[in-house]
Amino acid sequence: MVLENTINGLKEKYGKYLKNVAVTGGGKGKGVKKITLIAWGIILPYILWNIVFWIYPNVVSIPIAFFETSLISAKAVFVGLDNFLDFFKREEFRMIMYNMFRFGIIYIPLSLIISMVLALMLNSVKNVALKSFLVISYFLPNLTAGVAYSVIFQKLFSPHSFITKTISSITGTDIGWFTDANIVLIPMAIMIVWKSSGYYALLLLANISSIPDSYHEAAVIDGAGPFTRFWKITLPMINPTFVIVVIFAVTTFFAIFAEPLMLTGGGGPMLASYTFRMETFHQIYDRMAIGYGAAVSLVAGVMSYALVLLIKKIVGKEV
Amino acid sequence: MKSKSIQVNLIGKIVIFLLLLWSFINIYPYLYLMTGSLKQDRDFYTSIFNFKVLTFDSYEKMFALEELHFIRALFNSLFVAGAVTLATLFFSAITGYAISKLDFKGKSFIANFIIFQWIFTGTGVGFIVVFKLMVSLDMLNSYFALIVPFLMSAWGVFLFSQYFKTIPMALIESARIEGCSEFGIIFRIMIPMSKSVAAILGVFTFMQRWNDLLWSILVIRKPHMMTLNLTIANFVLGGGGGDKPGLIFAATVILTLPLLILFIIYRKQFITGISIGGGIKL
Repeated sequence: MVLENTINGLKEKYGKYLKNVAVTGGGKGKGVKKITLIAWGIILPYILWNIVFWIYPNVVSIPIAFFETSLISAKAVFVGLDNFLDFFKREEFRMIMYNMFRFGIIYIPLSLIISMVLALMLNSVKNVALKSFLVISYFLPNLTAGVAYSVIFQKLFSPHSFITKTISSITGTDIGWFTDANIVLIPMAIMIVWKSSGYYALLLLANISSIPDSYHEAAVIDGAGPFTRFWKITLPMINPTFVIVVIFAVTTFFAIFAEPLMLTGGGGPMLASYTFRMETFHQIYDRMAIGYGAAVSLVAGVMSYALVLLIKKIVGKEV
Repeated sequence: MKSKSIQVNLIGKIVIFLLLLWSFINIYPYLYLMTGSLKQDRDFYTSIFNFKVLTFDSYEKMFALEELHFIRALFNSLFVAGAVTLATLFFSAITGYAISKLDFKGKSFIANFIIFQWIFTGTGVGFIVVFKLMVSLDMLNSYFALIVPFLMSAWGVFLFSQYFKTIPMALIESARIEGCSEFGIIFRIMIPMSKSVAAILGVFTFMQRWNDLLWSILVIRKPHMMTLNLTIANFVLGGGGGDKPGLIFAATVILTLPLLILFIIYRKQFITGISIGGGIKL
C-alpha cells in the first residue's frame, strides 16, 4: 500500500517523463498497442510480398500440375494424371533418368573425394597467408555465372584446344566433347566438379577445423594411425556437414540448366545431356504448357526430396 | 628420428603442392579467359603465354556490335542486381528488427513462419506460377519482372534478426527516450552496428541476381531489356560465338569482373557466408 502510494506520487511528479518510457515498456496499456501497430506496419511489406510471391505460387503449383493450361490463357482443363503419365512415357524422361545416373557416377564420387581430400589437406596448412590464398582461390569458381564458365569451358574443350589435342593424340581418334553422345557428360561433369569441389571443401573445412586437437592427440597416444583417426574421429565429428555436402552433390543434377543450354544446344546430342530443368524450360517456354511444366518440375522435386531422405537415412545414421 | 622428420617434411611439401595444383586448376580458366579476350580471333587458340599478339580489339568490337547491346545490358544487370540487393537489405533489416526487438501480438507466428520459409525452400515449382503471373500482368520485358519477385529473403530476415538479438535492448530504450523513431533506431543504430551481416547478405544477393539465367530468359525476350548474362547467352546461342571467340571472351570478362571485385573487397564475408547458409537458399 505504501509502495503503491509512493509510485503514484512519483508518477504525478515525473509523469511527463514517464510517458515516453511507457511507450517502450513491457507492461500493458497504450504503449504496447502502439508498438504492435508499428511492428505490423514494419513487417507488412514482407507479409504482402510473401502472400503474392511465395505462399500463392507454392500452394497453386501442386494442383496446377493436374491441369492442362497454357501460359497465355486463363482456361484450365482438369486432366488428372495425364501430364505425369505422358512425361513418363516419353523418350525424354528415359534419357533424363539415364543421364542422371551417368552424370552421378562421374560427378558424385569425384566431387566428394576431391573436396574431402582438399579439406583435410587445407586443415593441415599452418601458414596463414598461404591458407587464405588457397581458400580464396577455391571459392573463385563458385562466383562465376553458368554462362561465363560455359563459354570458357566450351573453348577449353573445343577441337582446337590443347586439352582435346593432347587426348586425341594419345587415343589416336578425333574427340568431339560436345558432339559425341557417349562422352558429352564427361566435360559437363568435370566442369561442375571444377565449380563445386572447392565450395564443398570450404564447407567441410569449417567443420574439420572446429574439432579439438586433443581428440587427435589422444588417439595418437593410443596408437591410432591417420586412417583410423579419419574414420573414427574426423568423419563422425563432421557428419552433419558431410551429409549436407552429399545432399548437394546428389541433387546437383536437378539444377543443371545453363551448361546444356550453352554447350550442347539444349541437351543434345540425341538428348545425351538433357536434364529436368531443360525439359521444364522446354515445356513452359517453347510449348507454353504451364501445367505440363509444373508436372515435370514436381517429378524432379519429389525425386530430389526422396533422394535427400535416403541420404539422411544411409549417411546420417553412421554417427 | 631424423628420417621420420624428413618424411613428414616431404609429405607436407606434397600436400602443399597438391593444394596449389588445385588452386591453379581453379585460376587457370580465368587466365585463359583474360588472355583469350586480349587476342585477335585468328590467334585465339595459341598458348596463353603468347603475349606478343595481345590487343584490345575484341573490347572495341564488343562495344561497337549492335547485336549485343553491350552498354544497355551492362546497365540492366547493374540496375537489377543493385536494386534487388538494396531492397533485400532494407526489407530484411526492418523485418528482422521487428521480429527480434519489438514485442507485438502474433510475433512468434511470424518468426516461426520465416524460419519455416528459410528451411523449406518451396515446392521448386513456384517459379512457374510466378512466371504465369507475370504474363497475365503483362509484365514480360520489364524491370518489374526482374526485380519484384526477388525483393525479400527469408534468409536475410533470419540473419538480421539473429544478429539484432545480440544488440542490448538498453541501447534501443535510451534512443527511444531521446525521442528517436523506430526507423531512426533501425537506420542510425541497428544497421551501422551490423555491417558484417549486411555485407554477407548483400554480396550473396547481388551474386545470385547477377548470375541468374533461368528466370531472366523466361521473362525477357526483347534485346534492349536483356541482362549481360542473358545477352551473352543469346549471342552465343544465335551462333555468334563461332567466328568471334575473342569478342565473347571480352564480354565474359566484363560479366565476371564485378563479382571478382566484390569478392576481393568482401572475401571474408563471402567465406563466412557460405558456412552460414549463403549461396544455398536465398
